[in-house]
Amino acid sequence: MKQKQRIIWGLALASTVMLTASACSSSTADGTSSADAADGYEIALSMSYSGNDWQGEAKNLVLAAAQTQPLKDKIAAVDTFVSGTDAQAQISQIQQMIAKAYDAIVIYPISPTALNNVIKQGCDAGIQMFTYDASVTEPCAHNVTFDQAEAGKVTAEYLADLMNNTGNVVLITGVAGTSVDEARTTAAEAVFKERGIEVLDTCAGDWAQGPAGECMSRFLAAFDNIDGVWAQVGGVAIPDAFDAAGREYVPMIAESANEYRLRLQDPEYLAKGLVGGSYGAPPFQGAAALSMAVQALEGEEFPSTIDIGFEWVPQADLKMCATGAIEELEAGCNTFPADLVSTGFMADWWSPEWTPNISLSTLLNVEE
Amino acid sequence: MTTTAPVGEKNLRDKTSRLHKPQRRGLLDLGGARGAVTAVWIVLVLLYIFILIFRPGLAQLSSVQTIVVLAAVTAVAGLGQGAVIFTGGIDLSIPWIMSSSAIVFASIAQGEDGNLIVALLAAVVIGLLLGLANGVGVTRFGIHPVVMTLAVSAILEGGALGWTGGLVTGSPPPIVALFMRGDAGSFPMVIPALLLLAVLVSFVYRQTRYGRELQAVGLNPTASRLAGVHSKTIITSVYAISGVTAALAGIMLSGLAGQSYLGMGDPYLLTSVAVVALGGASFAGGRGHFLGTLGGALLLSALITVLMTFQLPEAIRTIAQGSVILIAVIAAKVGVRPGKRKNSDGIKSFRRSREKAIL
Repeated sequence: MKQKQRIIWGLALASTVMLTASACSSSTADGTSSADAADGYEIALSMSYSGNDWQGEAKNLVLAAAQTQPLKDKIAAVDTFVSGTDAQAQISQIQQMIAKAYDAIVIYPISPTALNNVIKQGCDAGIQMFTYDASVTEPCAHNVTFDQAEAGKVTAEYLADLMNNTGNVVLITGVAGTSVDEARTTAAEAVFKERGIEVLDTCAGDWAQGPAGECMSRFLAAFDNIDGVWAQVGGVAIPDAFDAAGREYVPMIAESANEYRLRLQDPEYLAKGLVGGSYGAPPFQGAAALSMAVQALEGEEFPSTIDIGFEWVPQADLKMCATGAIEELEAGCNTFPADLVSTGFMADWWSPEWTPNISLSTLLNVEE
Repeated sequence: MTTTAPVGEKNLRDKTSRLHKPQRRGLLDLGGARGAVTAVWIVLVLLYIFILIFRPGLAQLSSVQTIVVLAAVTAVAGLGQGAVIFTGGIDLSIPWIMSSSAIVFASIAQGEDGNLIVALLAAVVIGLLLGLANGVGVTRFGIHPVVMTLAVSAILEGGALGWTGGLVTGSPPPIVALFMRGDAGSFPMVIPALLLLAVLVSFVYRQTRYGRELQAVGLNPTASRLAGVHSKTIITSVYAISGVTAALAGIMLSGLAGQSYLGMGDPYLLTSVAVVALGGASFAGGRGHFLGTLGGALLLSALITVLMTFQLPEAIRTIAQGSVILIAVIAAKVGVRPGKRKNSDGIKSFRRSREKAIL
């Protein structure tokens, strides 16, 4: 009897687990090949965390870049591996890549220092080691990144202009304690100080809409003299917080989320007085790293840090795309219709230099 | 679990001697958490007085609304967490049940109010099934709650990541945002809903057979089983409740954030436990009440907003938050001590009511 009951419960639990598993059946298998083996370089992509739109886009751009010209003929395969947020997991993953003797390894590093040893091993084995967005301190690696302090400075200056160099600003920062957050925020604070704008307070928005919206709601509850918002993320949640509190919009800087750019052009929001600009870490950095890795394999020399710039789009420069075709992108469109992309889609993914032949539909339908 | 302590019994009798009948169940029946629940609400009132004097801007209606709305998500997640903790367990899968339910909710709703019912049902059913899985693992297989709920959490994290590939499609319907935020400063309906929930939970806890059986199981699972309660079913049910409330909290959060995304529930692992602790619950089980959790959530939310007005650096603010929680819990403990009850009282009153029912 007891035994029987156990078996029944066991079956019940097992079926629950299977249901859950089948509901999420399209899981990302490790090490999926992007192309059939042909002549060309074998390249490994080591991602750490992959759980947000930015990381997903960056990965798809790397794969799309490998499948379109000019890289298509030079790359045999890009194998993607995701290690999660554990540095040790990424270290052992890269060790395996070195053992498999890939020609180049493109890395989104989880830590600026923890991977140094294994990256050195890769360099010593003659493998081209490239990182993107985040960087590592190991000098033999090539860090493809952009100037975070410059991003903080340019956006803060624009906001200060919008505020006529007077009044109070609140800052919604990223994840406290990260070098990216530190660099952007410090640079922005310096600008506000220089322009005579008072920083009322800062709040860690953790680069996600939820915490950013909560920060803004609390700011609105706490202060009735906010004249500007400088945020690293929150283009969706910040206007919502103003609406909920029944307060007038103030000039705001936020990330390059497509949704935010749509609002900056939406007559309904413009009528309510939404002004601002949009910037962010460009997702094409991974594709740029891939492209440079191929050039390096062809004999070109690269320094240890390569600044590839970022896309800063003030409101006036926003332009809708109809379908995201290459001609449109070349003509400078930088916002995409809401029904084509996911709600958290980052709009600054296209670069004439690094993703020249990738249209929106290529990006969205890329095969792993 | 402790057994009858004659001294405690005597104290109680002295305290209640003014009543002719040995009736110890107040209108709300807060049980052993009475002192702590009272303490957290007193602290909340004191904090409000402090705000009135030093930060009058924060005392205005719209600011108080914001504080309550932000507390609502934590309170709803804390309701399930509190029920689980009441049985001596803990639910660490709340953040990822929140995230996965909210993601499913958004992808079914596709931003259309017409899809609300289907999306809501789907999300709640997912929460329920996951909670049941937790409960079955804990009660039928004897897996420790920490291990079981962490495992479910990890499966969900991986599943959500695999299913979405990091790109969450769809968005919550506007009506959820309206429910959470109100429109242009209007009154958000989440506040009366929260009050209703508090009344409902208090009623179930005080007046229904389920509530009393839950109290018995929380106070002493073995004794209650001997008294004829299906304690395993009760314990399974609290995990199911926790799954459902986590799903609801996830939906509420998606309304606040305007979208669903992976990891959106992450901050609620600690806060759901913290508000239960602030509400005076015992982690050994058998003591706690949703009114305490609600007070704890309001206190935490108000505190974060008040600290914001002092313009402290992030590091100092986090330290201050932690310290205030610690002080509040200690204060509640001190407040509890004189009225300390022994567990056997609850069992006895439960047995009495059960005997009555049988007769």
